[in-house]
Amino acid sequence: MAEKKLSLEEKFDNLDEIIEKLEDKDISLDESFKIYAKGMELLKECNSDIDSIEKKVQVLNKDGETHDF
Amino acid sequence: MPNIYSVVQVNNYIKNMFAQDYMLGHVYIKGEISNLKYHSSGHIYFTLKDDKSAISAVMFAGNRKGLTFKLEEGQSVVVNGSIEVYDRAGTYQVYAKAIKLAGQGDLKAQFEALKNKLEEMGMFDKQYKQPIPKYIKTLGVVTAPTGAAIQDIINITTRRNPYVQIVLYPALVQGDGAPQSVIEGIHALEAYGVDVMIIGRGGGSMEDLWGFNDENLAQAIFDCQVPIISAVGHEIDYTISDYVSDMRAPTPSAAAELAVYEYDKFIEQIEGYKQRLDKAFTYKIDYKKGLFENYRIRLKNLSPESKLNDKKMRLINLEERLSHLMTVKVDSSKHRLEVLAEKLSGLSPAGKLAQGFSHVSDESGKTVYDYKRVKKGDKLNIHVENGIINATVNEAKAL
Repeated sequence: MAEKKLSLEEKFDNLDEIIEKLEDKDISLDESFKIYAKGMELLKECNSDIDSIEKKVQVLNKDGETHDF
Repeated sequence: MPNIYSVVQVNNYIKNMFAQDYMLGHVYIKGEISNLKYHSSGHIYFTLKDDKSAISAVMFAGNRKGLTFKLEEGQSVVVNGSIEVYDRAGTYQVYAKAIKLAGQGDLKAQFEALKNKLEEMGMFDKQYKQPIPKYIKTLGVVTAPTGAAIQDIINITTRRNPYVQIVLYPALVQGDGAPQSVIEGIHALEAYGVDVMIIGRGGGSMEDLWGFNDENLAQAIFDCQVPIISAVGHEIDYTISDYVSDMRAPTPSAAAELAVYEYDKFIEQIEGYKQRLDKAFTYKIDYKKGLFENYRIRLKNLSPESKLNDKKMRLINLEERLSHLMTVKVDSSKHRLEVLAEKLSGLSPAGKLAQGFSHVSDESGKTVYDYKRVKKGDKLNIHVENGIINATVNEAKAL
């Protein structure tokens, strides 16, 4: 994985931060909209990070080839 | 004349000597099993021998828990027990409490030696342990394709999260070729690219698990960039690979539980975040709305229109008060008038006439109220209630 992608843990941490910010009274409405949108975006990413297709067990051989178990 | 002893006295004496000897009461003897006899009573009789000597031995049924395998002729064993005199025959023998295969002792020693060596090298050090990622997509497994371990791992994984890809490297997990096979598996899975690896096998004897006490394997685990969970045998079994890996799991099932997150919990968590986010945002909007409403009201109160309205209100108020006061005033005036009217009616001259008083006037109509103003012969009019009487003055004088 060459590109630096946020892990799910990091995304969860970010979500925690965003919610904390939103709960802060002093933040402007404009800012609220921005970070809310960011939060929803993160949620979407989290969901799509899960490749929800049931997997079959693969068997790997010495040559790096795989076949179904 | 020397003392003469009976046989029983001699044997008792010797038996007592044996019993008082600490060493003979706690002894480990290594030898080979021969003349083995499992008696129907549960006792086991055998002879322990080496190439130079032999000693009789017995393990009573009550001590059988000290023996975990089946004794066989020619086995090399270490017997733990005491040496006591069997006085009826005048012989001594080993009373075994525990019997172990002699090789096992060697394995234990080898294990400890390797463990100490690697520990001193720092290979078990916490600072080298890689964290096990919480949310994995691909799980590598190095184990036998036919064992219970892989089945347990598949069952637990698919139950917790069917979307995690399991990649199995079928390895030998028993016998001389096991360490090399497991090492190749680790390399192959690392090259393939998995998020976490489980290496291990199901339960077995110490010899069965021995492949995981290998120095080269330990090095391969240590060098591997992918976090490795070691799960060899049962809870009570510890191997070198358990110590050197990033995490030890008591069993292969437990390893799968440690490696694979629960999909349902994850969805729950995502849902929780969504709700919190919505709630925080809605709250924020409501809060701002409240602030806005507050300002709106304050501003409205300060507007010219509002001031005008205030004045209007004041005017209406004043008007009302005024008209009220007027009404009161009028009412009270009316009342007063009535009272006066009544009084007045009481004072009316007509009333007086009715009571028998009269009004007297002269010919010019002037009221006569001074006797000096009339003289004898003047004509006077006397007004009574129902008419006028003409009279002539006879005399006018003071009373």
